[in-house]
Parts: sequence; structure tokens; C-alpha cells
Amino acid sequence: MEFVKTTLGDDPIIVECYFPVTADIVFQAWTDPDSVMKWFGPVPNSLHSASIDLRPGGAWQFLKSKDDEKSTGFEGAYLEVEPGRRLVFTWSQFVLHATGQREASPLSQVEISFTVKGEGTQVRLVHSAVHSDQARRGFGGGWEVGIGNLVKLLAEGAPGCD
Amino acid sequence: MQNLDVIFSALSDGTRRAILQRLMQGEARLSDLAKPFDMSQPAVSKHVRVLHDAGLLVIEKRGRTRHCRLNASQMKVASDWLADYQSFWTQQFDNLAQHLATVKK
Repeated sequence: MEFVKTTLGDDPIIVECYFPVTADIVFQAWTDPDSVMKWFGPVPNSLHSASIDLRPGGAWQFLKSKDDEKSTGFEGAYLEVEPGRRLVFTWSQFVLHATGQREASPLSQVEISFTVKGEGTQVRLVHSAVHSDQARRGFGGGWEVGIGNLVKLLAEGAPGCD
Repeated sequence: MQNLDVIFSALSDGTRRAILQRLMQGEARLSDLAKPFDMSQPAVSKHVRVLHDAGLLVIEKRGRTRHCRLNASQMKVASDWLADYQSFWTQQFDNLAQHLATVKK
């Protein structure tokens, strides 16, 4: 598989890929819990569970692991849902301890666009900082700095993308 | 993860990023750091203090001069977080490609 990745610079993290299937199929892979379970995570079929409330404002959560001591995973809320075209959601990586203590990464935003290209679909994923108050609401953000700022800073001497 | 917020906040300013970029080339005297900027020494010192509070640089007093250098481990905390996500999403796309190859048609 060939990926067009971000040249480290001003932009957020960008990953692009062409998939030889329809946009509806790729969209479903991202938004149907059973499909997500099959591929999302460190390795395929490794998620503990996936829950998706696919509507603007709806929550999603992909659990990587869950035991007596803690659960770890990713979660957020959908901001834009356009079947087969576009999906935008907030993103946070978290660890929830059985004690109730919760650690989470700064809230960020993932934007995925699905574009018909020939017989397949070009998928572009942009992972960036959260800019809208709407996205921050209810999440205890504190995340006000663009990821791009740091990428830019660290760009010097960073290995290039293939 | 409070730590990460402080780091990213410190990095949100162009002057502070320029200071870190300068320090990537090696340590510098605090008084020399101000030179490339159209800014007073106290103003630059203020930026240096923010970077210091975020743990991104170390200030060492030798005699009457103060020297600044990068705190590489703290920079790594931030860069790891980013590098992790770049490779994370690449890995996800790889997984997705494999998955879609099985559901095709």
C-alpha cells in the first residue's frame, strides 16, 4: 500500500490512501462497530469493543483493553457525518483506572474525506488540534495549540517520508 | 498528560520556537539569544522563562553569564506524541486496506 504522508511542516498530521472499493464501503468500515473491530487498533481484530452513535454530537469509543484495573482506548464525539463523503470527530486517547482516575490526551480532531476516484476511493485523514468551541464543550480541553506548530519546530532533522 | 499541555502551550509562540531552533544547534548564552530578535532582552528572557518552566530548556549559571540548552528528554515527550500519531494512522490505513481487501464485493 502506498501512502502519501505529510511532509512535516505547517500542517497537521495527514495520511492519504487510495482503496479500490466504493466510498460507501470505506465509510462503513469507519462507522460500523463490527467492521471497526476487524481492523482498527494496533493490529487487526485486537479491539476489546467498539461503540458508535453515528450522528452529530453522538459519542464513539473504541476500547483497546479492559481488565479489573483499567480500561484503555480512544473516544470522542462526531461533529459531522456525511455518509460516503465526510466524517469529522473529536479524538482523545484515554486510560480509565478502576479507582475512577482518568488520564486523557489533549483533545484533538480527526477529519476524514472520502472522494470517488476511478473505481475506488481516495481517503484523506487530517488529525489536527481542535479549534471550535463546539468541539471542546464537555471535554475539558486545554488543548489550544496546533499540532502543526510542533511539527514545524521538529521538522528540522526529521526523517523524510517515503 | 498535564505535562503535554504545558509543553504545547510553550510551543505555541513563534519566538519561542525560534529560540528552540537556535538551541538545536547547541547551547547559547542567554544574552546572545536575544540578538536575532527585534526584541528587548527582558522580553526574550520572559520567553526563555516560559520554555524553562515547561522543562524544554535548561538554564545554567556560570560565573556571571547564564547559558541555555535544550532539554532533549522533554522535547522527546512532545515529538514522540506526534511521531506516534503519524505512524499510528499509517498503521491504521494499512490495517484498513487489508480489511477492505477481504470485504471487496
